Amino acid sequence: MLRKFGLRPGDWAIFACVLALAAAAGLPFLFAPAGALTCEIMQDDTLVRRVVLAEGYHDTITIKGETVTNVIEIDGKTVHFAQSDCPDQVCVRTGTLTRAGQLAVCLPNRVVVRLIGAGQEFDAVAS
Amino acid sequence: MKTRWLAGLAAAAALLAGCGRAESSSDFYAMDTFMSVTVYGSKQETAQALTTSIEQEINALDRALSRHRTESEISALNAAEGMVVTVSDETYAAIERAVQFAEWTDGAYDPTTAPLSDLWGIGTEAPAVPAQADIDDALTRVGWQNIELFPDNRVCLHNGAQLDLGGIGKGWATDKVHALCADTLGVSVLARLGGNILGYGENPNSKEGTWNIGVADPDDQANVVAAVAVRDESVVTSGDYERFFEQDGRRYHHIFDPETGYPADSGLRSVTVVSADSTEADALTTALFVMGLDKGMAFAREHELKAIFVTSDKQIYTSPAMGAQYTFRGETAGYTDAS
Repeated sequence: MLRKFGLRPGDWAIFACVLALAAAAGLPFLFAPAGALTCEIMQDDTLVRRVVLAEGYHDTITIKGETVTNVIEIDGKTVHFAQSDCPDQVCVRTGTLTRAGQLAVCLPNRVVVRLIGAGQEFDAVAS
Repeated sequence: MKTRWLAGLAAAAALLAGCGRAESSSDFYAMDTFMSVTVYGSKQETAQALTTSIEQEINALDRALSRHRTESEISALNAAEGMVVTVSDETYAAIERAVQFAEWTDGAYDPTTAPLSDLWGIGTEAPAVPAQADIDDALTRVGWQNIELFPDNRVCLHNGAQLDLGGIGKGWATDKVHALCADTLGVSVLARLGGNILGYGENPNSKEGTWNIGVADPDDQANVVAAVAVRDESVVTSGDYERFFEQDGRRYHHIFDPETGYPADSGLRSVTVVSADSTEADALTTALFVMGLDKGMAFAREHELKAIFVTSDKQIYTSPAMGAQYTFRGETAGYTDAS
């Protein structure tokens, strides 16, 4: 039968490798909670924190820049800039992020807090 | 041997079957704001190349048009003390459009309000209400009529005027992004240039193919009070809530009325304009905000502009041209749909 298709026993090894590779690529998607709301905090191009949000989870993250310090609080499935000594206070005034797609930015400290996850209702918010 | 290679290729194709859509994103800072661009396409190289081109284009515009960068052409013009300065085609075209918008809106949008911005210091560490004499002095240097354009890209500023293209800069950049997208086949792009949002092409994450853009609640900018569905259009919002300070219980924001020298006190919290021409939308959000609801709505009706007005008493008005693109979303936050 194998000869009929020009295949040799060693070919099965190739198929097995390809299938194993495909399975490995799919593993993260298989075990990640569907639509898990994730908070990502970046300063410039550096990832400061990436955490899957869950009820009961609390964290306070302090990010010091050259002239500005931000205090970011994660409270369950929400996150907000609790304090900042930047002059414009835009980050603090942005309020509490609760849904995927929302973001808050502290320009002077170049810190971006965003929520990522499935079920994003808005592609972007004009403000 | 040939069959074995074909089988291998088929397996590889199956492996990649779920990766048919390429995506490239970039976050960066330019024009004094945070920007984010996501390009969707069928080829990763194309998406990546367009993302890079967009970022480079915006950075080049920032270098040319910013009045805060000493190497910019605008800085050179502002430092020329009334002498004629020759600028690049790009900068000349941007100044020309700024003057056109100022004339069209009867000065409600004015690219020479920089002396007022500097005087009030909003967004700096020491903002304060200036003395009336200082405001009056600054106003002597405000007025778009002080910009004189000559042939061959030559420009002159009279009476100590200072040019600030910040009111259209991000719109200008958005239009450049739009043009780059149009020159690239088969891509969809979501570009967030501060308050200017461009949804280009078909949204791959939406059944309708449109981009769903929220309009921020002035009291809680993480949430929205309206939504707009767009395709190949930009959504631009200006409001009193981003850069402001409070003194003696009163809010002073960054959108100045060139007539009074004070932050525009028009009863509005924000104005949103939707247009394929983002430079125009940028200028008009400022102009309509300064005009206020009645005059601004009349202007929007007359010129068939798509505009959303959010008032201080939590009413949301839309111009007739907005049509079915608009959805009211402010009920929970206590807003009323007055359109």
